[in-house]
Amino acid sequence: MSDRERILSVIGGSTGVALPSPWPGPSLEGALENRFESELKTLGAELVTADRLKELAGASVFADSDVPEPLLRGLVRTEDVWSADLGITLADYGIADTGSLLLTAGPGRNRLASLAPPHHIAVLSRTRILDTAEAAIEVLPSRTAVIVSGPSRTADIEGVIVRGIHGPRRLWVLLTD
Amino acid sequence: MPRPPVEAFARKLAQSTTDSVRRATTGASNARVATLDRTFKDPGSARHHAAAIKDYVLDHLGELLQQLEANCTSHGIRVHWAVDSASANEIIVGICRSAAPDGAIVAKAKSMATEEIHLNHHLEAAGFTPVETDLGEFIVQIDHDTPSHIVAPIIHKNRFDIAKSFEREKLGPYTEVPEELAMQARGHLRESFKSATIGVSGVNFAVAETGRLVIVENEGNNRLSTTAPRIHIAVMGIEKVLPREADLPLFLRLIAGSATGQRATTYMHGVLAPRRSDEPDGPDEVHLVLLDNGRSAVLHGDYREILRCIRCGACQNTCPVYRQTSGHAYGHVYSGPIGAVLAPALEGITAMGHLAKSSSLCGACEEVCPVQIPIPRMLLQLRDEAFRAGVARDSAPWSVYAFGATHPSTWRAGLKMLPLAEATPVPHPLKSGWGEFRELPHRRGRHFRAWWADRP
Amino acid sequence: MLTCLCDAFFGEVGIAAVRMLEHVGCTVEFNNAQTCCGQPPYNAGDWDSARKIADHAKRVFAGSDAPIVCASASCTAMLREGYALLYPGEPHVQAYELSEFLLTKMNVTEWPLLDPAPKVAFHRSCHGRGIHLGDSAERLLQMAGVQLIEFGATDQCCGFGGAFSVTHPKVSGEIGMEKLNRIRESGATEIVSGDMGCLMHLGGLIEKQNLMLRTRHYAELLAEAIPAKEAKLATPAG
Repeated sequence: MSDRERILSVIGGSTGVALPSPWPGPSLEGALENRFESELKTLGAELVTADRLKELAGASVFADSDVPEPLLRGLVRTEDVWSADLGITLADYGIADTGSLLLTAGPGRNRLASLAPPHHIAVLSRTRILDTAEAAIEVLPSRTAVIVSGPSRTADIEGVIVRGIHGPRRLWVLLTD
Repeated sequence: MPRPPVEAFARKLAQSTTDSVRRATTGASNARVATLDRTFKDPGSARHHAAAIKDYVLDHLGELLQQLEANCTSHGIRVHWAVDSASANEIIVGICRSAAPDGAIVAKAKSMATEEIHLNHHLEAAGFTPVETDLGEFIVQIDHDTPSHIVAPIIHKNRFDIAKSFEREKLGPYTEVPEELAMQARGHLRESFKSATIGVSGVNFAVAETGRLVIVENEGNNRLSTTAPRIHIAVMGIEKVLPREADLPLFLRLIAGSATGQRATTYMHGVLAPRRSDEPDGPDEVHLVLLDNGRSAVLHGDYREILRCIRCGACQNTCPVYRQTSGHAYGHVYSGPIGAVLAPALEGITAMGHLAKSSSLCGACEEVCPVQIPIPRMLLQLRDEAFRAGVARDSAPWSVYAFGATHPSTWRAGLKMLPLAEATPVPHPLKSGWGEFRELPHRRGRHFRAWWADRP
Repeated sequence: MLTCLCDAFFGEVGIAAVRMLEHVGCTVEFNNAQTCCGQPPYNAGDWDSARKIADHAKRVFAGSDAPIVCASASCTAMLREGYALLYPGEPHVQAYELSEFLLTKMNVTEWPLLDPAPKVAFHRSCHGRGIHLGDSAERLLQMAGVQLIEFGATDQCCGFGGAFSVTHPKVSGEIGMEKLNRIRESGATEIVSGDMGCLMHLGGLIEKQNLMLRTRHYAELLAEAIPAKEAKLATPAG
């Protein structure tokens, strides 16, 4: 008997316990963009506008190929995601409830671009800010995806929070129309 | 009678360890309460709902696992079934050998399931180099230690312990500053992510409806370990299935709130498939190892509800015994309240049944458990099972007590003799166990029965 | 039910409980054949011995259909939850913790005032969790004008745990000391609780360390508030 057969035979069949419907999730009040921004701040991330990108002159940038070209004008681009100072990617959706970003894998999208460099800018259309994680799960495509809530952190040493332990230590969101 | 292991361990603990554990567990408990109250209008009903979903999963486990397998397979995730620890290690080493016959670096993300099967030991024996990449687990690895908590592996260590370890391993100039120590680890581990051929992780939730493997973390090492290397091996206890993607938000909120007092973990990685041909990066192969290792047998017994566990660690943080002794006192990968049930459930009553008695049965664990596991009831049932198996019986002669308690005149006479027992210096385990740190109780005031009898 | 601890050491608590029940108009029965609810061997895992004792207790109380009242959440939990595990399928025993009974069955909304109003730290025993006791004892105390000092850990375990206190003396003692230190930091000089097991353990630690704290069952305070002549008028039945 294979391991699979042994395991399934011990588990046996069901006695008909019913499945409750999914948990409904909270309903948010107020403008989603305002809530998104304040939650981002709580996480230690912030909004940034396109003109601030000028300050990055000199930094090496790894950008996903679907990031709009005009944003990247004047930046020094590198193809080595491990040595880049900054990764710039699109985010598919924002989640206002927790200041989170949904990033999905796909053509032109490097999974490491939002992870390996010590700084990350996520470009998000303000029309794609959803209210809750429930709404985000509904629009999850059939691709590997990640929900990012703030910069990388650890509290393993005496509970002291340290940012950027492995992933980015700073996260900015650039909202577009 | 020999001391229970948890008590014996507590007597040898350094004050610095107790202080570290107490600080970490108290802080985590407070954060949990504050966050869950913010996140849910009624945290109790959220927990109740989660418990009901988990009970559905346990009841339909066979069909859900098969649904998971079918969906994973359709996306290119290769599913393997491991009835026990030996089988799981054989499968994982086999995958590693196919990928790198001459050995390779294995980037390891934190996974209690891999600790349970002692995977690192087997990888090393097979010529591979597992590198723990979670900061706490990395420190455990360089110290040849074991994790003492299922979420925060090194709550028993302080910055001075870690500073000495980093200096010994020559990771950088001596420092006791947490930020500096963390950056030394970051620099050291970055090479491992880049050069690892294989990455190993656990799975927090596997969605049967879609075949998506969901892993939550804060550091980013888990995403790195499962994205950069060519091969990703995910090891999962069979009970970690969820029915629908729509169930994820509830469980993600509960695990983040209960484990670390966060409203959301920094990263929720939802692996649906290996790198697709139109994607620029990602692993070429993703393997899912379904680990049974005694879980299926637990399904049909008194401890079934322990399989609802989502490994948040809230029970450990709130347990007064865990707080005074730390996880290592329990002598098992799973410690504290969860361990006191899971360890004997998986390893047997003879090996681990004694843990059920290292509890004051206060019930705080059940109160904080996000899936309402009735741990105190199960501890009592374990004590019954242990007693019948002759395991960890204490020396008190309960049958003599039962005789007295079923013969009222004997009982009343015995009570009259109590002052004599207190006064005479007769050594008795009950007396010495009590008297080491406390004075014996004294009768205060009147005898009830005499007062009752004398009432007009 | 008197409980074995009150039978052995703390008769005043039993007397106070009877006074409180008679104050609100109850007729109290006390069957002298009662002994113990069986919790000690039950906790130790010797369920055969526990059942022998429980069978005796059930016989003793079967003679009347009056509800059973105990001045102990621990014994109440045994009669309700423990017996449910020992005798699966049997109907639950009709047992109540004293404050639970007074609030939910006798609908007590006021109590004679204690003068001067005592200021105490209240320790909520863990067995209250199993029977969903909540703050019933605290509410009764407040009706009598008692001021409860906040020390932030009222429902944290004291470390007694029955036989646990004897098999794990150091851990049990450390848990108790942590609780006592929190109470001392608040400035309280008296600890009040609803379980004599807890108070026996805390009291033992206090005495060994010569701490400036006293311990009493909440029934002892509340009985003190009852006017003396009322007590003399009460007569037992049976």
